[in-house]
Amino acid sequence: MSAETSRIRSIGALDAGLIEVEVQIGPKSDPIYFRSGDITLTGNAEAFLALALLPAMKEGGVLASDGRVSQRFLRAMDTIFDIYRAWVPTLQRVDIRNVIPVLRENPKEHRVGTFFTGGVDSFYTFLKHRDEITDLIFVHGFDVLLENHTLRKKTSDMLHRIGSSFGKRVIEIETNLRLFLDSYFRLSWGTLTFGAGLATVGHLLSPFFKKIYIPGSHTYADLIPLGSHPLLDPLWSTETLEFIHDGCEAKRIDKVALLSEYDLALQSLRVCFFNIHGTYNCGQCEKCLRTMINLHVVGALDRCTTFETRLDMKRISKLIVLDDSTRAFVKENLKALENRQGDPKLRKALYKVLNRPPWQAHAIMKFRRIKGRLKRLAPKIIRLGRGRLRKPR
Amino acid sequence: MIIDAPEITEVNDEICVSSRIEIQTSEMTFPKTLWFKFPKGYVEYVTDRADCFAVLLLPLAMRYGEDLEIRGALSPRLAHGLQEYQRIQHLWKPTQFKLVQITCHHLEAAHPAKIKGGVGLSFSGGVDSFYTLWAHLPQQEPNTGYRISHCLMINGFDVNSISEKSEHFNDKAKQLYEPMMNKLGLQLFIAHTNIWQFMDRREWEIYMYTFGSVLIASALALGRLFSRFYIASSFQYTQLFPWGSHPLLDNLLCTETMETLHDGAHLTRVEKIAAISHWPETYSRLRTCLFNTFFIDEAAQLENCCRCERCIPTMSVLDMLGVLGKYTVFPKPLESKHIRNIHFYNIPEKGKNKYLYAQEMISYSLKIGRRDVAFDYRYAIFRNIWLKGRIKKMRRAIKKLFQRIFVID
Repeated sequence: MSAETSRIRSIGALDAGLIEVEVQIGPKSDPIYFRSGDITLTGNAEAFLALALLPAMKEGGVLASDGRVSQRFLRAMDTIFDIYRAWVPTLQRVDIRNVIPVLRENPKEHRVGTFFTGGVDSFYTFLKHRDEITDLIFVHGFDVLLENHTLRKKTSDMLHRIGSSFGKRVIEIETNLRLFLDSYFRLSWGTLTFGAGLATVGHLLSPFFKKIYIPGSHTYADLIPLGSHPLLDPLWSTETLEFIHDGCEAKRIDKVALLSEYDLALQSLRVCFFNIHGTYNCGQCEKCLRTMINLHVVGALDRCTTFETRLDMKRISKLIVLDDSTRAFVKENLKALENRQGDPKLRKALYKVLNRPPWQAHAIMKFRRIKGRLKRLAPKIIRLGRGRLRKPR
Repeated sequence: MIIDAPEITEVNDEICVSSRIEIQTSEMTFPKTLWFKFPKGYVEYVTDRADCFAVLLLPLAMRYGEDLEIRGALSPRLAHGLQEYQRIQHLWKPTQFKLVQITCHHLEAAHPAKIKGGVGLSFSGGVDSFYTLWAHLPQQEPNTGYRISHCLMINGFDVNSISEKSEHFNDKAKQLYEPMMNKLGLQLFIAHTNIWQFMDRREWEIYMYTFGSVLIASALALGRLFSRFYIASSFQYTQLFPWGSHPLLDNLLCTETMETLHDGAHLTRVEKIAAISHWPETYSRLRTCLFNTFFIDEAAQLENCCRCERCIPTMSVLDMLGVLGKYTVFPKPLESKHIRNIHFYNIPEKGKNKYLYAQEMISYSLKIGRRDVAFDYRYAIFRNIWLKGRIKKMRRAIKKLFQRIFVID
């Protein structure tokens, strides 16, 4: 029998709202915590396996975790391995040891939740199933970094505003899981690891929930390897908890059209990942611009108060689109604008973005990166130079 | 479109489950009943539920934009799956598949106690289905609940069920595959259906987007037999595009008692060929051809054309593995000129995957150090992309020139 290469050890729940786990992958050991003031978190083997699976697949060998695991979850592991390995051929299958397969039964409550960030996809799924959904789940440390306290506060306020006006409970959870996953898969949170992160959090809430919606970003027509995927998300389910990847039937423009009917949604919409200078939506990044175009097309940009800047054609035409995921969204916007037969300037800008040759896009990206580094280094160099100049005196 | 409550009847030596179908469209004439026939011995497995008919006819209802009314018993899980199925198909092909209303008066789950618990595979004799069969034999599959116990072939799907060819199908399929199944301890079932008569053969693309539903419907007709049913995947998870059998679609067409599993999407076609290449059962039984889809009557054995987009890459892999000589199903020799002359068929949905098999071959041959084979495939792609385009342009230019001269004259 081969020796364990990866191991998950629960340090225990220090209080009802705190779970601590130690994950050992190869020689490296990392503590991971989950904290919530809104609900009792329940540590279980499904959650721990979901969080350690990808790093363990990178290492290969044997993954050991103590405890009972749902039979359905365990059986789906084969397909999860297959999908991840087809996407990233360097990942390896791992042998899961020490777990006892069981049929999960009798959850405490039968609540229905959705992961909610305040973005377009989250709002769409929430509004679509708002009669059924009882809880909004937000994870601090996933798309909002833990050290960004200002934004966390703003987001938390927004969540509670939405929760109270729709009569839904808000569950906020804080974790350093992303830091752990990012240390193994650099820059792959969106493209590979975040689905497993959501599944982990979902399983920590499993005694209270029968169904958790995961809002999807892409339509069925644009299926590309992505951390959360309609093929992958349902596989994290157990006998008592169902994960549903939702919203793939609607394009982003259709989703924006739905949320534009709600003023509260337009006053709370949060799409930005960069949050330059601590802003709620920077209005400069690709995602902000993409959403602003969506809102412009459905005629709701003026009513949306969370974007402080105006739609800038120059900024749009400077966008660099390299990955399939972003390209799909640009195409979608262009098609919507073509159907409307208006905004020739905006269409021209999007054409330019879409038809930019890859070599040119790569060159611009490199140039910008170097420019950014120089910008960051410049004050240091100036300071250093000044210091040297002063020394002889 | 109305699907009446199905009936089970005995006709000669066969057991037939049929349903009266009412179709409003006048675009085509359809038979009044849709049926599945099985040998009399299968009577205990055949069900009178409407699940199979709903799965089979939903794509047709969507094609003609007719609401679907189901009067027989329908599984609630399947009813939910059908809704999602039509959303996906509509999103892929909005003009060809319209969203329709599905009404069922009798939603009822089948009783699990009545199911025999068989594990089936939709078997065609191709690379994908042979791989899935091989991967779920007791030697490879440790989990007993997932080992294949039955293989299901469908007659009346590729060919008209009342044609002469169809009559030969059962005999030939049995002759070819039954000895192998018996040896492996499996049972070969042949379902006979008239679905071919409901398809518009002018629109072959529609068939390419929906063929998975026919495979699953045949398994649902044997509703008391299967608890799991495998559909062998055609493409890898990284190469997903709208296609009739798709991991998203297949898994939706399941009931409370029958789970549908889209299998083998973690491997490329080349990897599957390599996996089954040392299995002697495939030597005289592997069907890969795009054209020679039927068995050769005179030879009483299966022969592939050896010259199409599917045959040549398969032969190349087998050749590189040093086992091509053992395969009697490829009687013609393989030379580099054959590789260079492959014609790649244009399937729009393949998009950037149009040269998928060729690209897989290039990376595989480079991996094992056969640069000559990689060169041949690169040349084939070049020929298909560049040369053909140039020849077309030249032809057009010459034609125009002739026209001008003719006019001047």
